[in-house]
Amino acid sequence: MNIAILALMIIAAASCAAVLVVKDVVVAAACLVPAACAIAGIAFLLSFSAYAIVLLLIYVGVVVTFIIVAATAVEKYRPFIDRYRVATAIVTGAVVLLLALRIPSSSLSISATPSLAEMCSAVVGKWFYAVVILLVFLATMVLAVVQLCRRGQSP
Amino acid sequence: MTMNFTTLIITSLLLIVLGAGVAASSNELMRVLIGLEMMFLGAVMSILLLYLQYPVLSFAILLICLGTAVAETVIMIGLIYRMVRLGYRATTSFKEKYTEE
Repeated sequence: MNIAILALMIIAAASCAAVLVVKDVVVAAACLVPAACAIAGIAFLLSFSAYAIVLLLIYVGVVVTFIIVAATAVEKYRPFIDRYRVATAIVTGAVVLLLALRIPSSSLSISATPSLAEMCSAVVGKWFYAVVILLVFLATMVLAVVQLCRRGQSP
Repeated sequence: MTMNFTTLIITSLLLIVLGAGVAASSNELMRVLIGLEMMFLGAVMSILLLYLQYPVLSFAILLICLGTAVAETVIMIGLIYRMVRLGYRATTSFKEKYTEE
């Protein structure tokens, strides 16, 4: 566990240091994603509340959105934007799905704030929650593909 | 674990200093935002340490931090959109733009 935390810290520091070296703004913004993911990983290893980890992953989503906006502002990246949206939908959906399936309901929660999985399983049950997440993920994918097809581009 | 804590403190401080350096030295809007995000990541890393002693307090601070960071990102994204609409390039440095004018 110590080695894993150290490795994640090195990843976070290295990806942030890469921002100083990289000249391309979009690539520099992309360097923030592994750093944020590494910090979420450290939070996971230190038994942080699952709710907080979900919030951190939502923050990763915000950073990804920021990268898309940054890429929109730079002319040379415009042709790749639509493809990037599909990739974002896939990655975000996969992360949320993994989170829903892998986070144990009891071990990660702290007394004052119940974990997201606990709250959801108390209402509808763990599997129903996972199925809903899967459906949302598939709907996002379908929407992204429909949007691409409307514009006459191949996904 | 003590070594890990020390390393966590050093890494979080390093991230905050790096972020402040990037934000202060750059003259592009994007780079300023990247610097601010790096500072936020350093702050979150330091909150991880607080969690082991005061979980509820650290959770509250994390919520405030995330709210601030997301609000800041949304404001900056709005600014970038506005700039692009007005014909500026968000990656154009301020110096370059003033020289053009």
